[in-house]
Amino acid sequence: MDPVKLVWLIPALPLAALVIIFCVTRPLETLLGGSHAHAAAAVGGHGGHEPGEPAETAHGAGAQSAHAQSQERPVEQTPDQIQASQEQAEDGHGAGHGGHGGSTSGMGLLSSVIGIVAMGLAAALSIAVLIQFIRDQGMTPPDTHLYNWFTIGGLKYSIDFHVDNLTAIMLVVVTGVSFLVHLYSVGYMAGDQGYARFFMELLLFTVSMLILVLAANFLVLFIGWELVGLSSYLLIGFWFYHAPPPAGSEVPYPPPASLKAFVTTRLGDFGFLIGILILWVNTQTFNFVALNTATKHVNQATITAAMILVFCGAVGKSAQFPLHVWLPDAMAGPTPVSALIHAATMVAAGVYLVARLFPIYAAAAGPQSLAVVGYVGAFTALFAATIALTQNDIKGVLAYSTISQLGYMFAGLSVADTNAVGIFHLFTHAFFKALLFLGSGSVIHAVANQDMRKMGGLAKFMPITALTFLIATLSISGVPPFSGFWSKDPIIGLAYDHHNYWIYGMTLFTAFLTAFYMFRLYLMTFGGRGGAYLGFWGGRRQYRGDGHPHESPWVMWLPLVVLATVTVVIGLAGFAGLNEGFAKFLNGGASVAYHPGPALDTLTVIGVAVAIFGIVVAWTAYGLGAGWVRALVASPIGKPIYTLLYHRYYLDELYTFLIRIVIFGLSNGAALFDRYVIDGIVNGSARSVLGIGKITRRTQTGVLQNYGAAIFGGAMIILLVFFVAVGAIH
Amino acid sequence: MLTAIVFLPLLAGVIVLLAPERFTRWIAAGFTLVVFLLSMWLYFGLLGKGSGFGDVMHPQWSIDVPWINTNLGGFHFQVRYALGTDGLSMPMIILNGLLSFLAVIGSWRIEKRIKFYMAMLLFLEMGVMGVFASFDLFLFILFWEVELIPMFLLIGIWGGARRKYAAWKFLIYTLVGSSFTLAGIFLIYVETGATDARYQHFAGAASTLIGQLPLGAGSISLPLAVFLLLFAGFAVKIPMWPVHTWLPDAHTEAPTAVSVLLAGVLLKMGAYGLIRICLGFAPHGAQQFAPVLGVLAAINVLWGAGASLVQRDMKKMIAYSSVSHMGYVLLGVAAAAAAGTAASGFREVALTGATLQMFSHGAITGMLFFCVGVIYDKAHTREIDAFGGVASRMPVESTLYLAACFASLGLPALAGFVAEYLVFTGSFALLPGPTIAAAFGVVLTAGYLLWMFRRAFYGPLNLKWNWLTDATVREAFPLVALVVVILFVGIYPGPIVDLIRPSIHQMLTVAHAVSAR
Repeated sequence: MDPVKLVWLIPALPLAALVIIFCVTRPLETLLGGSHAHAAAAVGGHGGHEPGEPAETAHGAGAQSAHAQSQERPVEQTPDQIQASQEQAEDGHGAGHGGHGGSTSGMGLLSSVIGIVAMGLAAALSIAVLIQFIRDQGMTPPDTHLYNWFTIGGLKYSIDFHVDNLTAIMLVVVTGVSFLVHLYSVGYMAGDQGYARFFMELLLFTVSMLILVLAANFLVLFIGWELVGLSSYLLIGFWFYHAPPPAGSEVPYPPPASLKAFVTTRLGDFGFLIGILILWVNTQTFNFVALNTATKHVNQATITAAMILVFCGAVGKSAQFPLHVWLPDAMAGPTPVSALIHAATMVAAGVYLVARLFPIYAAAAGPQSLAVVGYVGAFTALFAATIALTQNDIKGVLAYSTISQLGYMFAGLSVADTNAVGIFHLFTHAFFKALLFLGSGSVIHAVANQDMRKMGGLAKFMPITALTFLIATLSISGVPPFSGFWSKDPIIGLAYDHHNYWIYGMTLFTAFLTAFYMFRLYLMTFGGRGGAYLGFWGGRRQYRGDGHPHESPWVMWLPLVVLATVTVVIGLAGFAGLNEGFAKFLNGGASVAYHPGPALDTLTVIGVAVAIFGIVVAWTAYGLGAGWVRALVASPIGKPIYTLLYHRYYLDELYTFLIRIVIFGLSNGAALFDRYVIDGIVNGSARSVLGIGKITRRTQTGVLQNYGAAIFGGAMIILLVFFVAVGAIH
Repeated sequence: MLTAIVFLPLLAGVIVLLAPERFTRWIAAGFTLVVFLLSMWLYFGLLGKGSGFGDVMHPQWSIDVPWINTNLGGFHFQVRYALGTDGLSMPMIILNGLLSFLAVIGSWRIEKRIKFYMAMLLFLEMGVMGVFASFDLFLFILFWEVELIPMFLLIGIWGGARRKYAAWKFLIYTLVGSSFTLAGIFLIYVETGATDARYQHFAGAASTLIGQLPLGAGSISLPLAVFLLLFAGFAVKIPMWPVHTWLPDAHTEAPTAVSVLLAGVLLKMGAYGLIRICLGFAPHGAQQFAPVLGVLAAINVLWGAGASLVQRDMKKMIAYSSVSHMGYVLLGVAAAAAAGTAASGFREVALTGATLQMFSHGAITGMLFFCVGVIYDKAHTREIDAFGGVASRMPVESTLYLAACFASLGLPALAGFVAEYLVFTGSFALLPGPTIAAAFGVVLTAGYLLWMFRRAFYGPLNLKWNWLTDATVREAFPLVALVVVILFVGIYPGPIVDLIRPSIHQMLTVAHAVSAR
């Protein structure tokens, strides 16, 4: 049987799993005595959620909060350490997850198994579809028509799926990473009171994301686009009952973070919607294939404007400057969520959008639209990388690194004559960034903390996590032969080849920064001074929080190993010409006109040298323990820059200020205008003309219903008056 | 059949008043359920016959008998008892049937003078049904005024602390507005020279309304004068900025079920009048007013959204959000009426969207008010900041509340999105400026709803509310019923759009013929 014909099954499988969990296993779980744990958790705020030792979980579901425990600990000596211990407790909020002793109820486990099986089948089917497309690269199957919304006045609103080479790749990325994340979550979320809810929301996300990538027209794409926003909102706010972290903590707080994520991306969607409307009004179609030709007959300036507006949606969803502020906060969600949604798939939806519409960007629209994409991408890459240098929250660094890498993808879409370069980086990034996040989750799971300043030397305790993390770190730094090298080098090189020297400069410098901050992260977490292999493995600075670091259970390390294997295999396949093959594949089997892969030329050598240099610089500071970073940060020039970067350029503060002044100012103005001006006029005229003051006083006698008749009589009088008036005219 | 739908509630109301009090709730629930089922039967009956859902010239289920026929001062005044339904009114009749039934369920725990309360609720249902089912202008305005009395009493007797102010404000606003509408009805009746006031006369003959009307020293375009007079009453009811301030007060004071009906169907009477009567019978005037109406629509959306953002009371916030959402209806109507060379398909899309928005907003806002009602009945406060972390105590209630919020902010797969998307995709071709401004309302809507939700439901539990219990089955029933409707329309809007479309098509064909003249 042709797997391409069954493509509708790919979203249908997780949807079916979602419905089964919602209708069967979750209600059963509640009936079979989930209520006790639930009530207890509700009382304790986050009772039953302590990170850390198994002994603590023996307190039972109604145990006290992490705050209480931190106070029971022996008071430490220096103010510095006391502060650190407080932060430990605070970080616990962000890191708070199932803990080790927590057990998952039988029904909960069944829910996750249903989800995993559905995702496994969907992933297998996706791979079959991809293989089918690789076999026959020129294949263009017709759109799958699911059903019609309606057709009004010749305008069609129809729900269609479209599968082509690009979709096939995205399907594998989405279902593959989603499957591994589902598996991983069995370990990571074990014992959480919202265990089944977590899997439902994860499945909801997967369905929405699949709708997004399968869309044949803007209507379906927008539906998926908004639904992934919903799942993102729900999953960021998964631990909605947590207490807020105290001021100064780098760990984001779920309730405001989920709100911020949804509203910020909506702001981008506003532009996106206007862009869709411009295209719609001019071509009267939503269908992507039809648009490719239809847009050629429309005024070029109009299309250019529309495509830039459509890109606004991508800016919001893919967290590009200036709408990137939501993504670091989105790390408030559980770490598997960060890996799946906020690193590998959803945030890449913007890149997918531009790639999907690439024919319009490249042909019908003016060159300005792709230039905007490229400059925004390259600037964001640089901008986010500078912030990543200073963050201490392990997930915070990874969040900024995601923003930065997404910027690379947009730059890649802009500088090449094909979408293959940007999409290839999306492809490799999805795996190595999911690996990085899942690895960081493994660390957080082990030590119940996300502050890197309290980590160090963890490689000895969790060798699998450390080794796979190192592979991903090398990959993102662009070191051959790992996958990131093959996808990043062409972006930088093509920028130079196409004389986009600004983009070249920004992306090249970002490559240096990337290598630096990623190895800073790796060494601060897993290595350190005095460790084996020049400080890359273990180290004297041991983990200083509480909890006993150890390797995670197999459900958690297996996905790490799989992702690391993918990263290495893609890297090695690069030598066999995977890049060219990939570009050719996306090109519909036709050969591409240029070298989409790195060649052994000066540009590549410079690129790799810059990355190695970044690693060495990071190693001197965090592997050797040279004190230059501290000196630099303390110096009169370094200090203000460090402060600026550490506070993320104060953009959050600026936005908050603007919202407070502009939006709330206007809103308060409107509310006050209603209350005093309009109602003032209404009440005033009512009093004077109708003498309502007298009437209201009389109504206070309480016999209100007597007025019913009076009103009707009044209405009749008015009727009569107008009747006479109109009659008099004639 | 329509007669039964309109007058069964009246009969039920009388029975409720006469029967012993312990049966009151069951009688009311039974009758409203029957009315709702009958309204569904109207729909499925037409579906089964396969003869289409009709339009204003071809009303379905129609009944038409003479009622008042008199000559007053050389003026022939005829009122016919003409009822009928078409694609424009049937969704509203179904919605009214559904919401009235749910409102009775939602009022189960009212103790204060329950007999009189239920009777008023039933009389209200009758009035609203009459407005939507009338096919005669005089009958229409009669039902329009009749509906005021029960509403006035429901707010004034069972309302909150400032109920008297709110009730009077509602009444005066509406009466002042409807007096203009009445004048407009007389004007159109006289000017077209019709011998009776059945809709068919004006829907087809609207083109005869041309020329100038002498006014003081100058003159005013006659169609515009007719349009504005008729519109005055509808604008108050919708409500349109700047005559909207009665709504937040009325909602804040009204009991839950009354708020549901007020937002769910009473506002729709204004929108229905605007589409059926203003646009249908005075298309030329509508066209002249459309640019202004478009701007007013955008103001409605943004003003309402902005005011929602700063409200402290949940109900007042949702009331303002109604102002905002009714702006999309206005936008759709304005676009349908606007002059322009854009393809006629866009007008049809915009007006279908406006009509669907009436239905969607009724279901969604009804659900939101029920959600507030559930929590208010327990906590006796609606102040957003007084809560905190309540989701931990009320998982079912908070899940449904969140679903209603997302429906309201236009999440795809829920009813609000379909309507808003239709309005935007239609109106952008004709009124790009107001459409862009109104589309920004989508961002603000997400902001105020989710911000409210975050403050009231997320975060650590405010221990003051540790005793709160989740929604009971009876409380959850209306919410679940509405969420099913919202999901169905959101995922598969085909059936309801097919119902609406013929009426819209006929109306725009007439309007187009008029404006082309």
